[in-house]
Amino acid sequence: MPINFPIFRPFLKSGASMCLYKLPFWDDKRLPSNSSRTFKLLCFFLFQAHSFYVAVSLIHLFLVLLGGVTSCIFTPKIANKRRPKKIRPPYRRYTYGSSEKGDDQKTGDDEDEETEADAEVVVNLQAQSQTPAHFWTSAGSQKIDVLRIALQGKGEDGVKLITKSMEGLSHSSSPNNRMKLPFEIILHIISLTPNPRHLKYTMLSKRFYHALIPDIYAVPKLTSQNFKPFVDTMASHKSKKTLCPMVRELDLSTIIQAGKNSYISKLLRRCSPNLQVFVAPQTSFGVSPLISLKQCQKIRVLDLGLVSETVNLKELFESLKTLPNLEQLSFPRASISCEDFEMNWPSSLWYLRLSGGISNSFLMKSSFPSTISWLEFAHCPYVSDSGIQALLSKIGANLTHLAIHYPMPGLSATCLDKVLYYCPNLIHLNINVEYFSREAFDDDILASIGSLKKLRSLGIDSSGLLGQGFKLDPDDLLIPIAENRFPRLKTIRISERLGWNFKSDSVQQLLSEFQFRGGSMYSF
Amino acid sequence: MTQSDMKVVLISSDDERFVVDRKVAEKSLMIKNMLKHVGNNNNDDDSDEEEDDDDQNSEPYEIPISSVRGSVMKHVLDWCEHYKNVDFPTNDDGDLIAEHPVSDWDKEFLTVDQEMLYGIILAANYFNIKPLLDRACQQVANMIKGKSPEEIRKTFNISNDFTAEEEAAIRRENEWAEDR
Repeated sequence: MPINFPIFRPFLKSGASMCLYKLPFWDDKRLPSNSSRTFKLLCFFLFQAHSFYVAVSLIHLFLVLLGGVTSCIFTPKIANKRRPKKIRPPYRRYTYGSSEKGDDQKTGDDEDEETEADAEVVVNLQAQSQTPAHFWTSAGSQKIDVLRIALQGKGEDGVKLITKSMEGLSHSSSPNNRMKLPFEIILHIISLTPNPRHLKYTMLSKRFYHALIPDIYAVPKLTSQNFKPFVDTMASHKSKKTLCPMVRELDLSTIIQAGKNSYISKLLRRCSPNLQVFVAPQTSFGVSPLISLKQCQKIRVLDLGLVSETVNLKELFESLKTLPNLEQLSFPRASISCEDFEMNWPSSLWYLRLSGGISNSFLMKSSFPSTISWLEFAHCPYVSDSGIQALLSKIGANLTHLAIHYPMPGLSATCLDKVLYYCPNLIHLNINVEYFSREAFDDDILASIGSLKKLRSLGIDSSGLLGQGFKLDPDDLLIPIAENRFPRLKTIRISERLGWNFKSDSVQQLLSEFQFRGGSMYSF
Repeated sequence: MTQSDMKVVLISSDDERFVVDRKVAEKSLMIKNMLKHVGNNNNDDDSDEEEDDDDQNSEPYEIPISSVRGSVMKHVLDWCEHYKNVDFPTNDDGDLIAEHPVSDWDKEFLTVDQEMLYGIILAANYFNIKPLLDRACQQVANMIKGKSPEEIRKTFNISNDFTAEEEAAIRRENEWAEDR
């Protein structure tokens, strides 16, 4: 109604206006005198208003038409139907606690694809069943598929199939189609080449591709240059079921500044089904890779020793909780100290390298598993004498290997004097002269243990700082060796920075005594 | 008659007869196990007197080797003869424990044409002579070292069942592993 109104009005009125126009109403003589002035004014106003109205409605009509035309022309741009559809991001975005649900949905998609692939295989098989029932075994010899003959052909059909197969056998074993050597031997030859993991060997034929590609992916050799293409390959939808489960070891120690948190967490998640060894890169190992670690159920060796970014220990322990097979663990060297000691250590852990922001109370209160037999310390600024002694008194008897490396600023100069007392079952001991004195090999301590029957090698390192040269004397070692305190000791490694004069009498005496007992001494 | 004096006759596919010492033939694990088995049976079944009888009119074992040609057999037995006093210790899987350096004699022995080399490999594989197999394979490995896939296919007569697209896809997918 409001639209039609201004359009119809002018036509209705136009008749009247024409009449008005024909009337010479400004001619005073023809108009009645009594109505002359008011009527004239009225008519004038009416005419004025009417013409104004016509003009306005015309403009309005024009505008409506114009609007219609413009809207016809420009409507598609406003709705923008040509805009590309939203693409699902190639990686799943992280939510805290990594929802299992999303994963399930994804695998559901993949399964669909796989069934398609299966269907193809079935088709191929059907195509194959048209051919004679013989096949090449992996050894390069040819056999007749007796089972299939038994299943498919009974009576005469079977006989026909057999004869057909025999014909095919003699036909296809003609020297032109055969490999000159059996498949296994060619694989053996490839394994003897200088670079058996070269890609060109996978290009020989499909059989070689399937035989060799798992080796290439099991322990990928990654550098900063090829890291990005590797991640791209791993991230592609296709390789999730085929290539990713082949990865066993990921050594990212050579990846410096080339990775991103998202890459590494993506890589971890993709490789999680069979990943056993993971060496974290120096950089870009943040929260999301830590969370991705949770999925690597088969991981045995986890080396975070290179990570130079601060790692929140609490989150690390949160991730470790779910890794049942972890055997070797190296802590990151920079981490925020952790106040929560109620963590579950992996049950089969035997190698532990402690570094970073662990505190005395952590060493004292956390329940280290008794399976740990190999313990190393380095870069622990907060650990002092009491912490390390408490730890050693707790698990020292289980240790076979102990190494305490130089930068341990919290330890005092005599901290490890009782190390042999705490750890009587050591096989290898590697300590720094900074943290023990000649008291360590003192008669009192050694007498209380009896003899260290298992100790095989002893390494004594030194930071080379001033004043360390006088802490230990060759004679301090000579006496216990001469007294046969270390019956199975075979190797002593002495740092040159210890400042011993290897031509001096005391060192020569130690050497001759030690060699007399069948050992050898190295300096490094 | 002691075991080491015993002779063994090997008959090749082209009916050539090779009479060799048992010790030489036993370089082949296959023949060694075979003779051990036969020898044990004799000891179990026969009494001492009968064994004497056996010794008197003992004829050397004849072993038909239908899958090895005479020319190749001669080569392989030359190798066994040369190494009859060298022991190659192996572990349970049959792999050699210690690396034996390839001597000049070996190098000369293996400088034969390709067909003969393949024959030696197949024979060594059949006879189960691991050191010879390894050396011959090493020789082939040196041959294919710097070659392109096409050349390697030709060397082994492998038919390429990849389409060009598949080949390109593999290259693209494994781009990271290229040239290393």
